[in-house]
Amino acid sequence: MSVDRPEASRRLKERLKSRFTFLADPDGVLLDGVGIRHRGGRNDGADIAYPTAVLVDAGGVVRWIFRSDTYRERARADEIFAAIAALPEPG
Amino acid sequence: MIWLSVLLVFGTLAWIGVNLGAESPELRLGAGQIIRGRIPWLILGALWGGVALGVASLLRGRRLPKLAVLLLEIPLVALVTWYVLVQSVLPAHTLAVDVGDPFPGYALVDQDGALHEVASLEKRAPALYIFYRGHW
Repeated sequence: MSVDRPEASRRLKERLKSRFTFLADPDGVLLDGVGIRHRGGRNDGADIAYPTAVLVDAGGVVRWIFRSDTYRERARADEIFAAIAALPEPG
Repeated sequence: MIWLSVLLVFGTLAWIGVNLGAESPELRLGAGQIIRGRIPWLILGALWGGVALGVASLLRGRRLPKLAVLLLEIPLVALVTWYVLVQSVLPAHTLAVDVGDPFPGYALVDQDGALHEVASLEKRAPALYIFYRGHW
């Protein structure tokens, strides 16, 4: 998820050979929903997202959140897998 | 000792650059600290340790070439330090959702223009949403 337009996301997905879905939120609608709009955070003054990861269960409920005080930091793979393993069984 | 200083400073910078440029999912031998943790102690320690060795070497003689090396090293190390400790720090912000809250509904297109529309609390496959800064 980023504010990049779909064409930019498609190029990036191809470059990274990624199997993930790249959702485009150029107007930051979901950024506002989650409260992670970094106003003027891009070099050209446009709004972008605060780096954040959110795990949502089958009922649409937030089960885990990663956030950071710096834009360098990213959630570690082992943290993400542990959060996924802790998801409640659907039912 | 000045060569050890050069090795530590420029070796560390090169190692970080090579790892970040490789777009690898995991960064090796400490380079991952640049994207892990608030303060990358190992990286800053290697860089400033290298500068300290350079200064110690300078005090032992043959000052002109060693001074030239330090004049190259110190601005670079200071720049990296400023980046990790100051420039990359985000403004304080409060999230609008917390664990246990409904994730907001959305209608957004993906990289191929296909619409993904999900209402809040609508049944779906569990999903991990990773918000990137984008602008690649």
